[in-house]
Amino acid sequence: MDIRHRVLGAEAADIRSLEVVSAVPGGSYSLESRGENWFLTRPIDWRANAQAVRRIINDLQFLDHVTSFSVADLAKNGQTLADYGLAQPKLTITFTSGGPDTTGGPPVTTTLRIGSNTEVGQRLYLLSSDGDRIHVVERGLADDLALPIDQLRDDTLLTIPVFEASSLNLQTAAPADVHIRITRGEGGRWSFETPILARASKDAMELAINGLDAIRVKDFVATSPPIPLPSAAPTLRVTIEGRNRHETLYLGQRVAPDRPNEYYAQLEGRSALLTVSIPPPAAGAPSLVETLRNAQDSLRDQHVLDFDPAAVNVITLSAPNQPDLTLQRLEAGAAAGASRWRIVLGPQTMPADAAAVQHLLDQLSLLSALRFQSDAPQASDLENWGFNRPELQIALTVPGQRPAFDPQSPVPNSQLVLQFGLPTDRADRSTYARVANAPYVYAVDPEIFRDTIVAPRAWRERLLPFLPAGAKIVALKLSDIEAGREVFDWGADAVASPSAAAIQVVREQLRALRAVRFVKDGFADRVTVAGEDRPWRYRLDATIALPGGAGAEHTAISTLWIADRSGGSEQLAGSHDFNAVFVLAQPMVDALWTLTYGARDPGPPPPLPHP
Amino acid sequence: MKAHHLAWAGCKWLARTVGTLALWTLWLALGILLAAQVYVACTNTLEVPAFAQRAIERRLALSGVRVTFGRTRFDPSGRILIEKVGVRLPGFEEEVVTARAIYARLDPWALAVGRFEPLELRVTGMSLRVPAMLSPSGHADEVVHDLDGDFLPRGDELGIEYLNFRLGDVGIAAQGGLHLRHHVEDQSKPLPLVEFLARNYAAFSREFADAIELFGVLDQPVVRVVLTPSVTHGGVAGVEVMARGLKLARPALQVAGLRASGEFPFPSPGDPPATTEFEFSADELKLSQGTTAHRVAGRLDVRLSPGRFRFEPGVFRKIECSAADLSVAGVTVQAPVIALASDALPRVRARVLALLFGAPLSIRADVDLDARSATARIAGLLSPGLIDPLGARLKRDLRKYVDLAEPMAVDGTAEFTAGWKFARASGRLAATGLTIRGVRIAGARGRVEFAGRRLAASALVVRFGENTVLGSYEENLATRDYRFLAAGRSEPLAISPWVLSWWTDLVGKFAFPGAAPGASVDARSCWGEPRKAAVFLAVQSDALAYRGVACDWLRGRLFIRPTLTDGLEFQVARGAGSARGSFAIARRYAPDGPAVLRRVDFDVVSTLDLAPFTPLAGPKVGPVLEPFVFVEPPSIKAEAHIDGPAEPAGGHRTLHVEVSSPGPFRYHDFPFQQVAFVVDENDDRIAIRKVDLGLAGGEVSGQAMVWGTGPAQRLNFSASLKGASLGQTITAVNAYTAVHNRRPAPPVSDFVRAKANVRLDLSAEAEGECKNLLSFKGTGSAKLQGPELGEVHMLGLLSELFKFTLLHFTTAQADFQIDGPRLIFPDVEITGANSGIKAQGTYGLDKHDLDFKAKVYPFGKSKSLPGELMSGVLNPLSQIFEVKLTGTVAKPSWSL
Repeated sequence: MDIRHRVLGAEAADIRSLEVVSAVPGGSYSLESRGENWFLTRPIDWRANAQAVRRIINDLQFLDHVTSFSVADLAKNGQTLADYGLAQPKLTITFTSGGPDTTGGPPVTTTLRIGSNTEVGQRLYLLSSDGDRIHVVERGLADDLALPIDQLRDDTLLTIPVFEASSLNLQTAAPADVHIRITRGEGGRWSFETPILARASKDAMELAINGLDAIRVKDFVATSPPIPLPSAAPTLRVTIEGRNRHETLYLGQRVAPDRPNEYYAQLEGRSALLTVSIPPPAAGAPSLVETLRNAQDSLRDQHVLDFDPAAVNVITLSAPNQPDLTLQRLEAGAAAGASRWRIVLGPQTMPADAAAVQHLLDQLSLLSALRFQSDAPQASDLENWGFNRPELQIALTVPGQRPAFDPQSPVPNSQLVLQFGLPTDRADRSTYARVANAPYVYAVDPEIFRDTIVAPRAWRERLLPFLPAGAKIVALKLSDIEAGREVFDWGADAVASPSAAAIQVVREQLRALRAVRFVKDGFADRVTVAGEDRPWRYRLDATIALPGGAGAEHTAISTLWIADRSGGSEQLAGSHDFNAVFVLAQPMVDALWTLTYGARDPGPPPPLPHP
Repeated sequence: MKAHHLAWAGCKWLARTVGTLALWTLWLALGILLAAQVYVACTNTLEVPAFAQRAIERRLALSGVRVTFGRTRFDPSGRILIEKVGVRLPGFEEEVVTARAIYARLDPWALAVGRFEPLELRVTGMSLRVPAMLSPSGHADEVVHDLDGDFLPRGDELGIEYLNFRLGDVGIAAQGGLHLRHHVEDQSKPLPLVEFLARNYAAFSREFADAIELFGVLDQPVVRVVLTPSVTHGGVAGVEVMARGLKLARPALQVAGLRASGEFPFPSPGDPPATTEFEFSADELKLSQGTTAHRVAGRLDVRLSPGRFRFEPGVFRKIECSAADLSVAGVTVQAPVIALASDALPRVRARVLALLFGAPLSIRADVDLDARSATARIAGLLSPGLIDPLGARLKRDLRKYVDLAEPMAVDGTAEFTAGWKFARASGRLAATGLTIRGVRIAGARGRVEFAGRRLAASALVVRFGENTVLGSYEENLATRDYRFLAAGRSEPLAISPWVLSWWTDLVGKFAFPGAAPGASVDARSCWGEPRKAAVFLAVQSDALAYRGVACDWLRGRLFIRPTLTDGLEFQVARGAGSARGSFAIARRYAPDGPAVLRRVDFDVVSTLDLAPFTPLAGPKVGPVLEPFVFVEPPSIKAEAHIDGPAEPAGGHRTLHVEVSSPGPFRYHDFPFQQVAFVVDENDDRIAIRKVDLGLAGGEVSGQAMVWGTGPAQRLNFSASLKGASLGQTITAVNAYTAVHNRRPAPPVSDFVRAKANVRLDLSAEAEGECKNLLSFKGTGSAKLQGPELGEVHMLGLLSELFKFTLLHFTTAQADFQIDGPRLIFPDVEITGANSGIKAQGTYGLDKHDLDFKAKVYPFGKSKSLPGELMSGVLNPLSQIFEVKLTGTVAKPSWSL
């Protein structure tokens, strides 16, 4: 259709390859479409800059002529192709389009020749593929075709974005020679498949893959390639699998000792040799290469346990030479106000402190490996790390799945047993942990022992019912037994005093008396203060009015025995009624300090006058 | 995000547009072709078959479309070329569609039987215009131009060999095919698409105009569309948009190297919403306030509702994107991964993961876009490199407060209430190798909460080297009041930068060669106002040294203010001895200078060996204590109140000391067997009472009083020695003298041995000036008693033969007066079994001179016959036996 202004029609709709031959040295190149991507095949074998290629193709598809004239008419006017620079064209573009997969026929090859510029205007002459017509076109096409190679090539290596990646495969060089495969499963969870079966850290994985994607080509190496090539003997081979595609990066030797972050590299299927620069890590953090080389540790989920704390219904703590301690979650529907956990002591039970138990579960869920000690320990290792007689064992019982075929059957329980061992070698200060029946041994923070005392007092309900429901304190007296004097004597009709605020705090604390922790399982007449056994220093008598029948009240006196303050946050109190010696809560300690010491406290000095 | 939204909106619109345009172009071309056949017939270029002409006319009349043509060419094989085609739609006078040419290849056999069945249709130079009455410019502007296309109907599908056109300046290249929904051809009805377009062209032209505006933000965009036939949707458009850049004014957004792609089904009214995926990438993305990302890649899951052509936030279900880096407010993170998901807006779940200064950090948040509120969980590591930029932002040198050697682990939550107002944050922190306010910490972890003004850290576990401290910290950021509660072991000096100089002064005197001391502390103060400091400290330590003196253990409780150090109690042990007590040191507040003492109170009970501590007692007390040497540690009970120079009431001083030691004791090297005394001091009155000393087998008792000050200070004392051994006394005196004269102690002489059983009783009382020993006046008495007191050989060696001539003295007794420099002995009587001596005289204390006269009465006391005889004979001669003793003690002179 000569009436068209557009130079190309269907032949430009589905271009598969394109070759540009330039009269300018170094300006020739070839491009080839492979799947969704374009690649340079000459002068280097590398992924092409998609933007640049798409722009060239777009230029071809929208190539309009300003005008055109027939080659056959040139001779009639005394002109030749050479007059338009087309005898020896500056650029020759040859592209193929279509193919058996789209047109059912062989690819169509089209060749365009670009000649000289028009004498006026930013236009140039272009010879049609059949050589019959010369088109005068805008010179934008020539500009895009004449891009230098470094702008035509893509500087990315791995293009599978983190959200597409489905697996990461790593192969380290000898002598470690470890093959690691980590795959993404349901819910985006990453797991090691090889060489161990273990959880991987989602965050670490995604950062590693995104870090790999961020690696760019620094230089292409045309001369003096390293021997061996990275593809022949990679120090690290990285394969990312995506959606129906995968990419493999071979990382070779360091380029130079004084450039620790630069490596030789190659991509699978590409012969081009290049160097890459990997950003240095933060202080104290491993580099990306170190992370990948130590992937078995660095990409691993640091958490020792993978469980839902809310699902645990029984916790059993065991330690050598101590009776087992069992904490049992109460079934739903337990009495209102009762603790949700109980301590099971043989046939008897007592309320457990829900906050303490929850803290334990939180600590266990957060328990992380300081170091992955071993994934295949020998029996001798286990003995050396103290697992023949674990220092502590914690069994978590969680309800399992009810069989689908029998919905009426009882829900089976499953148990997760965590063991802690202390090494037999005293020089080894580590604490080790392992999940029973799993091969992995972790080094963990020994602070876990602080939260896992195998004694009932550590788990006892810490809220003490000093004030029965409906009762109120009508009088309060604190006596200094040692000095034989009253510190204060407060009654309901007491007038305001400097100590009123502190007394108010004491009253509030007594309403919901809470032990920070219990130091003895029973009451004692003497307690250890400042390193020696002493009798109680203070006596706090609370007169409590209890509602009686017919609106009458009767009173009773409850007594707390209180020791001297023995630390910044420690002051012991004892109660016959609760049969316990415990540490008072900080507000109570502060109030008692004000009451017992306030008179001696000079307070802060007034500010000095400004000179 | 806006870039992505815009790109998506553009692509979505584009997919729809391309599909619509393809269909429209096809049907329009067909319609035009029908009209062309009529025109051809009318213009007589080629005869158009009458049946075709009638059919075309009827159908076009039904659609209300008017078409004009330029030149046409037609051949019997069914190929038609029509040039300069113009189409008018109902309601618009101007041509809204024009084409340079339309080429059609028709099935001649179908045409022969009256059916219009094109085998191929090509369009070139087609333009679509906005009708002038709808155009913002009032001019029928082109919205689509330079459209070239080649269509191949294939049964229910329409093959599109190519469809290239420009929407505004945007070149769009499409190819592929569409599925044409089957319909029964009814020649009595208008062509459906022509009818549809005729009625909706106004709306479409506005969409085109909007699209041009939309694409107008793109710099040199290139659009590629691949259409895939779909039975359910008619077609699915695979759209790829590339642009050198994108620029928006509101919101401020610049994108460079944009690439977006996605597949979008053609939605039709009545279709259920369809979820599809859209991917994009950009070389650089810039938002306002310096927010920049490089090499961004992303994926959107969007839900397309039928009949919706514009971007609305509700279509987004999930957005995932990553970048090489992201800079926000001057902070650059590496390798960010961002995911947003929403089941129902305005609630969005967000996840951001990045390397912040090389350390991984993730944020998971639940966001309410309407309420502009969020709850975020933050986990990962905080890099040491974060401190300086954060400090620059806060205009503070944060490294003065916190310095990290290694990344700090964080796992916490933050809550933002309506309007993105920060409400609270809490979480766990763990770090190793950090410095906080100048204190080096091997490791620390704990839970931190921050709510506006209150910063609280609880469950802190802080390691100083091998030692661990547990505790909490709380600060009111508005008032800067803070409170530490801590318990554990640490080298006290390790935390000196956290506390005032008094701490260094106090603990700097201690050394802990073994384990670090254990302590439990409650420290409150105000940063910048140390005068508010209040510290309760309970401490216990094994194996410590106080100023070089090793002790076995120490326990104590203290309360400390800038003006007070109140030692509520302390206990210290060294060997078999120990001390316990309390003290209080009050001082005037002087934050920048040395403390000025106001008063000291102490109450101490000690069985410690004082010797090691004596050098520590200071220049005033040390020399007082130094002469005291106890073989067995004394028991001391001391209570004192001492006013210092800063006490407004003046320098009062009360002291009560009780000292006792059952063992040997030396004072200025003078030996005593035991010692006990009580000292009471009340300002300038010092009373020494209940003195009980063991001296040479005897006992010294007495009391003393000192009063006054300066030269007028006076001493009154009364003391007595009873039952002392004269020999031991002489020996002690000799030894003491030798030591003081720096000579070796003389050997025990026969004389001394002989006087071992002579008992000495001595008493004295006097008063005088303390500083002038010669000023004392008083009285005293002395008595020596014992068989070996003295012997005189009357007959020389013959007295050994005639024993009765040997004079024995067994008792010496004298009273004396202390009269300033003289001791006056008015009556010295020495008696024995057979003799006596009476003497009187004086002794000069200043010159040690003697002036005594003595008379000897030999045998006057003799009970034996020879003795009495001798007494009778010699008594008249007593005057002859009167002697004088003069000279000095060192050089006595006897004379008759």
